[in-house]
Amino acid sequence: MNTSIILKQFGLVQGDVNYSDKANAFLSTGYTSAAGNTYFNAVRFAEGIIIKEDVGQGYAHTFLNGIRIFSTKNQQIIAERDFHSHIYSKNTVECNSITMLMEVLIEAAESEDVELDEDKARAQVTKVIRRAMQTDQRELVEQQSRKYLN
Amino acid sequence: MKNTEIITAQSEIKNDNSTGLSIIGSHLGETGFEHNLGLRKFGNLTIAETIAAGTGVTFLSGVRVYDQENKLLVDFPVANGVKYSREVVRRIVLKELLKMLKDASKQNSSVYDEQAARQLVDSKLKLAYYEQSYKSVLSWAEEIGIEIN
Repeated sequence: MNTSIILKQFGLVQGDVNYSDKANAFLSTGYTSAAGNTYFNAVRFAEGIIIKEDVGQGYAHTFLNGIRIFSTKNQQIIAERDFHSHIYSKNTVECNSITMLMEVLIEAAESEDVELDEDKARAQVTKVIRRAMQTDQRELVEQQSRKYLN
Repeated sequence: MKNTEIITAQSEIKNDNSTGLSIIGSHLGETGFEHNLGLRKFGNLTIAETIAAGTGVTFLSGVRVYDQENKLLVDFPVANGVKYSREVVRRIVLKELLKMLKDASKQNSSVYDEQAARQLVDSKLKLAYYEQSYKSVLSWAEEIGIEIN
């Protein structure tokens, strides 16, 4: 299935997305403000989750403005965070995604009164996010679509 | 949309997975922002959140809280340029409800334990905003092999 269709079906992006080899992510159509900054979303698939990044590209720098993480199974938002003046890098996305998932996982375990081995959980979450950053996203989207959309 | 129209608006309700809101009103503005009015239940109160979603950014434009009789309890004036997140709204609602509770207890000269009230409202609001996320993340964790006991 076309990635744009999947993401529109999930309500995650409004327009089309295209795969960027350089970013290894699906990028939405950008919007350029009167100040000359361009804003767009970058979307990445990981095992069971979708990471949506808010990106702002200025004259000298590209900024990471926010990260939102969704469950692929039910498309519910799992975690969100906004950033201010955060220079964009894939490493920043990776580290913040892991932190956000661990924070919500720990809170969820407390709230639902279940036990969680934090070290083991962190190792597993890190593995899933690293794999998403390193594996070709076109392969991952195929794999995840087969698993969750059939 | 006027205040009084919020709860009575007869439109198709759509669930927004990005915010957890039930969207009851939506229109596309001239600047390309999609303006949404969404509701969230909090016990017998209703929280109405107005958001403007654009490409790469979503702004919060209004927060109101109504009681079970649709009486407006909170109408928070959101400044321009406030980025939307559930936590931003949750903290506004928490602060405003605690302020109301304090004022009401003063007027009635009743005993008010501010700390206990904060703890209770805070934890209940967390559930109103994050319960679905908690369930989803625990289900995901099990799926990727994390042991949950």
